[in-house]
Amino acid sequence: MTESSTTDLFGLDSSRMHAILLTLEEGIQLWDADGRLVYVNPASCLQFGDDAHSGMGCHWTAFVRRCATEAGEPCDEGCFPIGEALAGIAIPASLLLQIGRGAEVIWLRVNARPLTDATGAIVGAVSSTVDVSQLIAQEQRLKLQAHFDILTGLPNRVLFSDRLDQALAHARRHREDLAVCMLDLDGFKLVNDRFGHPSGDLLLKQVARRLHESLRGDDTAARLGGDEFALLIGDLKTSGQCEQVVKRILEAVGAPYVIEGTEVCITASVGVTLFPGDTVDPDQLLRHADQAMYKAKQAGKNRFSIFDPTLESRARANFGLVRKIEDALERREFALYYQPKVDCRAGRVVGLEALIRWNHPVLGLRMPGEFLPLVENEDVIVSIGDWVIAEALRQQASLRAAGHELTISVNIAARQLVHREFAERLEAVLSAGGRDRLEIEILESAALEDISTVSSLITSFQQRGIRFALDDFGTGYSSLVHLKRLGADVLKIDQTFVRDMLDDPGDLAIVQGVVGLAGAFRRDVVAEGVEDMEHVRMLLAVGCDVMQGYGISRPLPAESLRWWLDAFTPDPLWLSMPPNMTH
Amino acid sequence: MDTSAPLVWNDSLMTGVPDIDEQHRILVHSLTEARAKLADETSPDVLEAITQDLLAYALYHFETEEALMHETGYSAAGGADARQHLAEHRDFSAQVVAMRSNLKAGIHVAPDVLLGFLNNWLAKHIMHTDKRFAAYMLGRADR
Repeated sequence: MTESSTTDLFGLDSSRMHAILLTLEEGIQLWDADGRLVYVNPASCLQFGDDAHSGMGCHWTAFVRRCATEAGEPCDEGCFPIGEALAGIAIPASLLLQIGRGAEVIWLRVNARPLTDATGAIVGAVSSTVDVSQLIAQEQRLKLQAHFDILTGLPNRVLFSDRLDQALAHARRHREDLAVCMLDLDGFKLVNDRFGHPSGDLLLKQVARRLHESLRGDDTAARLGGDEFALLIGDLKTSGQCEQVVKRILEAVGAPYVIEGTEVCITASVGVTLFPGDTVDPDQLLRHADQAMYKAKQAGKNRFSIFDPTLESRARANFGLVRKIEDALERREFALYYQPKVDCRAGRVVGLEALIRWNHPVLGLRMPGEFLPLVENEDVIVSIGDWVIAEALRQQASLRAAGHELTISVNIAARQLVHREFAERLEAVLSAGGRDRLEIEILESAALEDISTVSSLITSFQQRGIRFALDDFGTGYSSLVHLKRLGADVLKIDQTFVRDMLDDPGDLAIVQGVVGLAGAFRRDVVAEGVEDMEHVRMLLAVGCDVMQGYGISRPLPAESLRWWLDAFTPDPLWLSMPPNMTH
Repeated sequence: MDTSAPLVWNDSLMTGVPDIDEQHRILVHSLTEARAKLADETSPDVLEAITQDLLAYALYHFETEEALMHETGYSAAGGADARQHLAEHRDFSAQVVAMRSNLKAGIHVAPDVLLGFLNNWLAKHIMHTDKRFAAYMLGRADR
């Protein structure tokens, strides 16, 4: 069909219409009521090539190929505007139609309107097509720019954050380790200053290529800006594997570059954090990797450092605990419990050991073993020691008023004894009359380094009537040296030996040994951890008369202590023991 | 000795309460780290350091959980579950303290015993005890 062969198109003179449409750059097509192509203008022929003429008389569906909405979403022929116009839709939405023209791919924007006769019946449709290929190409370029760094072609921050989300989801699903790394070049500014920015850019491009080549296909290297890169390394089986990859990257980046005929060397610092050891929050992972990167820089650059999440979190926890224990002292949350020491042979109470408890507002009554080790190297341990001594002496005065004259012992860590103000402070709490019957049980004496200082301190306070005991005697490595040089008055047999002495001849030998040593050095001896009558019987048999433990009394709060002391009567079974065999 | 698989952090351990999950992650990671350290060296000093860290983190973490139990009314409403929960916390601290006093007395603590105890305790406590509490809390939040 040619233009001249049709004299009438929907009541228009076709040659006149052709003349009108000749000058348009847009393609114009006319379709009859059945949807068949009946007219194309010259611009259509340019757009569609030979298809336009050979397609004359063809149904519009023959022209539909790949379509997209204006927003770029794919769509099918059901929403093609020509079909919609013929179906009576007055203003169908325009669509993008992709067609091939030789090797070229072009995009046309297609619009269509229904054509009606005087009665309003649809007699056909008119469509227009505009070549928008250049616009689409530009849009794609922009989209690319939104996700890729123009200089290096690597993913940019936006795309990296997408990939990080995906990689995290993948690692969680497959229970794999994922490394998130920040990489910063060392001294990149010097390169820029010395060779100029264009050379600096060339260097960045080469670094980017090496990063890309050092990683496996599924991993990501991105440029976040300047000389800052980020890496995602997934599918890790061990943390050692991650270290290998990072070392390989440092080597690759560190190899010399040739920039405009000059050899340039540059290194990188890398910070790594590992999921799932670290948090699931992507921003925090990046921050942690960044922190580790700064650590690598501080440690001398050209290296990597791995973020340690437990270290940070434990540091936070520990710091919080020290503060809490300081507050607890201030809020008077500590309390002393008193465990009676009884001479079972004589059948009388000879003293009390004051033991600290923490009345924790949430966790309830906590034992010293749960919280004191956490502050044993903190200043607050000294204040706790001061409070314990003062409180024990206060309790002693109140017991004395009630008719119970008893020595009270307190536990003091060896390192506290060497604290330079310890002597002054102890002096300050002792009453002027010298009526205090205080015993200081030295804990962890194995840790003592400066024995002579402590030894002279002990001697000077012994003259004031204060007694000293070596707690947990036999457990350290240098007990004998301490026994000889520290001049303590009392040896305490650790409860671990008492507990097992009935079954373990080795432990019984230690108990007998300590009793023997105490006798030889003329020291008193006290056994800890007595749980039942068998223990009492055995200890009496080996010559250790003074003992404490659950078998005699649990540590008691001050309120019930007085009641216990008033009610105390020796167990008749103790007194029925045969006389001491060893003495 | 411990026969169960070494615990590593994974989504099945999540209770759905962010603060608790974050602290559990640290606890499980501490265990992973302890495993690595003890594979390297088993001196009393290392054991002492590990158990001290555990004590500190336990005190910190148990306080978080138990404060939440009070706030959400679980301490009362949780009945036997809540009592069991507290008992497990106390048992954990008591066991760690006992191991430390053995260490101090020069009694050998086998690394496998420590690791096995931690592994089993954490797995059982997080998967069952903590999840029951979390379910209570989350159910309450929905109302």
